Amino acid sequence: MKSKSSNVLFAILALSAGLLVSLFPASSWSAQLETAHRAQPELEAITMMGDETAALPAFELTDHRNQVFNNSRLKDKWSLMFFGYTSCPDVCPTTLNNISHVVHALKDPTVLDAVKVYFVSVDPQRDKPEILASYMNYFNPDFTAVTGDSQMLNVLTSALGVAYKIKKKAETDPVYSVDHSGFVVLINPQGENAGLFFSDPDNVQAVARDLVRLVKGSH
Amino acid sequence: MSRLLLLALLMFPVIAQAELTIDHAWIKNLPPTVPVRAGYMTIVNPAKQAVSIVSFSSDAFSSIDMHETVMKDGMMHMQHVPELTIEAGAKVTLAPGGMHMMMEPVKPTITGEQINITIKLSDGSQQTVIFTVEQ
Repeated sequence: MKSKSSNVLFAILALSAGLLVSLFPASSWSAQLETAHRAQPELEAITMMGDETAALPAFELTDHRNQVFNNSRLKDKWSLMFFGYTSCPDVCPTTLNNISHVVHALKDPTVLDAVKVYFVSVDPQRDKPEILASYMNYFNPDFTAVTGDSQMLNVLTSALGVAYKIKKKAETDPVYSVDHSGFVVLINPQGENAGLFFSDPDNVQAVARDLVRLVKGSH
Repeated sequence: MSRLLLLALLMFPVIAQAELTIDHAWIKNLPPTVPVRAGYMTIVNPAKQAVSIVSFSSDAFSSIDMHETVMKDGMMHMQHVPELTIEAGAKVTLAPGGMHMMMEPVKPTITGEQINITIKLSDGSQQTVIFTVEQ
């Protein structure tokens, strides 16, 4: 049964990628990639959502400067958004370092101005604004950290396909870890969920080149 | 007499204790508000027998555990590694995004600071490694 359906799929693929897109619009990953390649400049490291690009529901969080952080803050910029928590020893510092290197690689002031970086803490109980402020100052003072109550965080994470799980053993447990998605979300200047990538020291330059292509393409 | 002693010493089988070759032992610095640090290093076991790292100790950390960052249910998850075995002649790298030492500092770390950490091995031996705190 499985091999039969994959044979059919192969035959369709061989016939036309365009036909595949029209037959399996949402269920096929390859169809999504196909759409992304048609709709966007050729990218190396960032996977674009293509036809799946979606507006975000209304959300309201607070940034590390105690300012309101809502949908309007995302307008007119390309935003990189990573979800984690400051008590994270490995993944979050590594990812923020990589993103910091991406930003340094942008160089062109126009492109730099068009790209914003957000660290969203999914651990609001420990990550108060002053803790987020010291965290951002350490990695890059131009980055913005945000958090908020769980309900609001969940509005944003659900819309972006981000998962997280607080691993507390007891309610009073002071030292706990949080499992969370490892990808970086890309939000377009319309404030829509537009793409994602996994950061890696090896793809810093490729992500930077992709951002240049996107920024130049959207002007 | 002394020749006899030398002969006796040469004939006495030397009990080899494992000594790992450690390269680039470092700790990622983080702001004082962060209660944890990650330690990384490259370990080579030049011996003819496998050996395991069973624990760590240091005056600078209240706890040190071996963890591995793995993908679980689509999320990044820290998995406890109770014992790290390094096969004879093998190299194991602890690096960002993978295997790391998860440590709770007793006081804030400072970039450039050097911290001694003692590694306890499965053969009962131990060795002290100097870790450098890096930005």
